[in-house]
Amino acid sequence: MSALDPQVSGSAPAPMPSPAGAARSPDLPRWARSAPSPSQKTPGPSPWLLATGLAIAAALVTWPAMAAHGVLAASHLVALAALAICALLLVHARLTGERALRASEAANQRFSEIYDRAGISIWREDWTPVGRRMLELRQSGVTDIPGYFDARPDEKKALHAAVRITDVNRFTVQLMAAADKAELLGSLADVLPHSYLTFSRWLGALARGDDVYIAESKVRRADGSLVDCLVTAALPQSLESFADIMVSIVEISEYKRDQARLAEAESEVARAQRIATMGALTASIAHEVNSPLAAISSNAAACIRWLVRPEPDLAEAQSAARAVLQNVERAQGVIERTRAFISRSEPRRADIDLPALIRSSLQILDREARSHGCELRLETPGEIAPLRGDPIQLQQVLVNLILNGLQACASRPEKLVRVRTWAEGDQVVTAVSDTGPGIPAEHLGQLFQPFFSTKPTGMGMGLAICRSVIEAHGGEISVSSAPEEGATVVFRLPLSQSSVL
Amino acid sequence: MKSPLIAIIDDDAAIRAGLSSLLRSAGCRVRLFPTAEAFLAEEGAVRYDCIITDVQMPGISGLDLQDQLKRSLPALPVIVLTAFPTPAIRQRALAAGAASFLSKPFEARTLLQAVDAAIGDGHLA
Repeated sequence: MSALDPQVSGSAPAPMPSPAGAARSPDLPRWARSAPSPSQKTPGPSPWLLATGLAIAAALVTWPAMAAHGVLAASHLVALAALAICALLLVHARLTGERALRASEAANQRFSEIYDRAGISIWREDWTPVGRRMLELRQSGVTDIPGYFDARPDEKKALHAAVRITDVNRFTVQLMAAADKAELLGSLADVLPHSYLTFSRWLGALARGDDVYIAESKVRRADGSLVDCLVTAALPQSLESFADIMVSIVEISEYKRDQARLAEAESEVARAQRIATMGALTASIAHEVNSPLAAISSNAAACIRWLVRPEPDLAEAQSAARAVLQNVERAQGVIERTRAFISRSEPRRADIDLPALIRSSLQILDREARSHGCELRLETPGEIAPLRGDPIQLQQVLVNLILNGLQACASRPEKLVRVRTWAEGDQVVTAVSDTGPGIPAEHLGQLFQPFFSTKPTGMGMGLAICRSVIEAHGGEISVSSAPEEGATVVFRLPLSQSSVL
Repeated sequence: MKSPLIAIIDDDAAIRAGLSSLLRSAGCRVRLFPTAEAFLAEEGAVRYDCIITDVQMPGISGLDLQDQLKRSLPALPVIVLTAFPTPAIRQRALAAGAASFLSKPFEARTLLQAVDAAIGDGHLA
């Protein structure tokens, strides 16, 4: 162990800090500010109890963020319970460690029960070498601790291996399909080799002085199978409590599978809707492809005729040949747009130039609009910062909304669909307005519900899919309408965002 | 004989240009119109030997134009082109007396034969 990790064994380059010195550095995490010298006794547990309370409060605050990352609400509850139990166990550990004499038999009994019978996996880990090493680094002026270790993989590996699992509860043995508890004790690197992948995140959380650590991770069982887990821990608030970090692990494999299946089903429905949309545009697409083909055949025949005349007209032949090439390109463009739009593709994230995406959506619908005598208008400021998202999904939203607008205008004297887009703070707003008859007030609330349609042949999925796409991009969508004054659908997307698709 | 004068009415500029080159290469004179309205606005439809019109256009459709011309100039041959030939459209065009009904894309030879037949020339194709 110490051979692997010279820093941990005590040959540290920087001197150990004095607590007073550490306390003067306001950017240090709490545990480092109150760090005692190894020989010093820690003060009473009251600040520590406060910290535990804070940890739970922080976990509650973290929840919405976790929800945005797609972690199921049920898992949240379990993780919350896990955290609460951890906190309880920590309280207990403190009590047994420092006030053993005063702790009652009953409390001991209760602790054992909670620890061993809890339906979650609890690990007690000794992170002391990590705490010491991080403190040394802070003292020697290293601010980016995860960065420091990422640049020194050997040292990082050694430090990871220096973390020891000191105990696990009975449920953990079951979850890990281990023969007994002893199999799961020892170096983190031996027992949970996959935890190395998230070690940097742990270091980051500890270096920032986070109250809690919550992350998804993979755990390899004794039989070799990988389990998706939600890992939760109340992080130490003093250097001493690095010696007993309680980590709870909740299995979420099934939830992850459900999530994957749901995502797949959603993407299939969205694709079916795109195909249906294109089906409604068959006449337009046929026109869009057949017209360039007709131009190609006329020009090619004309070109030959200009050349085989008794006095060949080379200028005419050349211009006809050039027209052939232009129309080949045009037909290819239509086919590519159509194929991309209905393709089966995994959701992906790319930088999106929204005005360009709107223009290409208008192109798909251009012929449809012209055949209805409807005007399509795009109003956009010169530049809009790119946003991250799935271009096909967002184009589907645009095509759906514009097509709805076109159809709404069909029987109206004034036929206009306006697409406006502009930046507003850290959002980009897009509004699609039509001059149709408007939406009755009683329908407004149901518009985005699946299977709600006012069209006789409508599937009722168009707007439902629009909403799910926009929300998956961290945005929101709404509709407003007044009778006889058309309808406007507005969606807002965050300009720079880290949302998950 | 004086070369035939043909009106080409199509909202697609590429089609107008292609037909124009083809018919001119066959010795016709052409005039091009992006809409039926533009054609009707021009005095002297009577000058034309043949009209070639698209069906789906913004404003007056090719079929409506055909109906109008049938009333005003019943002898003027009209060739109807469409990129989306449904049976209903074909039936209506032929019932209204279209000289030919062609779907896009068409073979150049077929179009020239249709024009030939319409103007009774017999030399174009």
